[in-house]
Amino acid sequence: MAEAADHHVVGAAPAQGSFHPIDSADSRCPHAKLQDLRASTPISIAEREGFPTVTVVTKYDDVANSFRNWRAFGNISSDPDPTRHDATPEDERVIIGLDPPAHTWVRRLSQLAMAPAAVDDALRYVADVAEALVARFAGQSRAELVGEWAEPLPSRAIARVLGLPEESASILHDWVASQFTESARAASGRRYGGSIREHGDFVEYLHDQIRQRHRDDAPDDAITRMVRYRRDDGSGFTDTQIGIHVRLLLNAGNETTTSLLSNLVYRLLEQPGLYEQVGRDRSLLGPAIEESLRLDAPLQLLIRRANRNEVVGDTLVRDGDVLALSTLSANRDEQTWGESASQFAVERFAGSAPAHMGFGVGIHHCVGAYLARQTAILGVNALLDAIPSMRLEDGYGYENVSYHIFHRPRRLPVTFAPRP
Amino acid sequence: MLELNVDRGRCQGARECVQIAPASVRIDATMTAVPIAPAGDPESAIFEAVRSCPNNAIRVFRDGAEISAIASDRSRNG
Repeated sequence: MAEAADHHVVGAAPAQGSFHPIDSADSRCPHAKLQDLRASTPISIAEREGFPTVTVVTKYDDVANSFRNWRAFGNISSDPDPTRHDATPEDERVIIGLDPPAHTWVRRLSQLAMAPAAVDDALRYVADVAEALVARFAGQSRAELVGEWAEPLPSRAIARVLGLPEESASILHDWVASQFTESARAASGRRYGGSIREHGDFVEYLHDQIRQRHRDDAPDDAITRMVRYRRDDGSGFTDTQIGIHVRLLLNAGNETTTSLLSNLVYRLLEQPGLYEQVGRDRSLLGPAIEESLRLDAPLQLLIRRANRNEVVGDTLVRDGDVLALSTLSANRDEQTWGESASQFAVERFAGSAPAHMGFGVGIHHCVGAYLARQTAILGVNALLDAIPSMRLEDGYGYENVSYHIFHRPRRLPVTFAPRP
Repeated sequence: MLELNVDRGRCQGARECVQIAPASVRIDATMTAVPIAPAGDPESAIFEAVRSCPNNAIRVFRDGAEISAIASDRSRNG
């Protein structure tokens, strides 16, 4: 697109009021501020001492167009400070730090594990795990669903899909969780983000798994397929490259799906009777999952960087600017979703509805969307089967997790009549 | 006459194709794209829909012969 030849095009204005999407003090409760920004300054600059300056994009069309415009807005992974991205050689970058053409091949590498045809083999196991997790607490009268259900299920599912041994799921879960705690952030010496330190033991464990897949008698699983994969020019991926992508898939498939499961059940319990209604009419579960992904995008923002001057809407974004594309805000844009934009409408996606951005948009659309949806279907069905009625614990107050890109309740304590 | 084929083993319900070529692809209750036959959008939109798929799940045929490579001629973005 041309530079600011059109006189209506202006640079982004500072955010009205004080809002910084990277600061967990704001990201934990961003809805009112995002609504203000959509109305007043849809594309704004957020500056705050101790945080990288970002251009915040909040309207549905602007966010969608920016995602699709990958030539102008490159993916630099989730850190809004590009320093580490720029210091990493291309062949050591994860897929969310790559643009085509390098991205294309790594995407296909990831699809070897995450395509529906590959994931389907694992779903019987995921259903069994869901049933077993729920059976542990169904005979009691209370449970904390994040810790007892929404966290363990995705780590077991993704470990199985990749072909990792069952015991790796708990190691994996601890490893993923340890990166996003307040203490990990303190250890990183920054006011935002997570730990930048790798866990040596876990990396070594994975590399041992990858080395084993080089044997002729290696099991036919996702990591073996990655080891044997060849690009058109006959070249494969190194164990190091496979390792960083296995770690990325493990990471990406854990916390985000925990968020989907937690957000969905929170919304089903927030409206009295809705959980029970979905239990009676399971055809509502699919639309409810989509509506959860819309209203509560598990990743509330994604980062891009301008490779050139580019106009978004009426605003000039300058070469080098870092964009925070707010999926959470786009998914609640009143202009797209109408007056009920900020409400959970269980049947919104039963008919035709615009595409939500719960899995992102465009070439980086979540490569694990199918597994996430299936895990949610199997996980919630297991809950509904064992516990036909439940409610949030008396006095429950929603508290969002404190990591800036995540959007989900920290805890979800529920009470119910125990299964005999 | 153009016809699309969606590989259900690859489609992850990104819905790019449905937005670009709504008279040629629809989304079903499982969030999987399903072709509408015959494809009802202009050829340029149909080709763009093929290119738009992040999971390379869409193939296109003209009178029964596959022309996916022609549709994808521009450097693939998936």
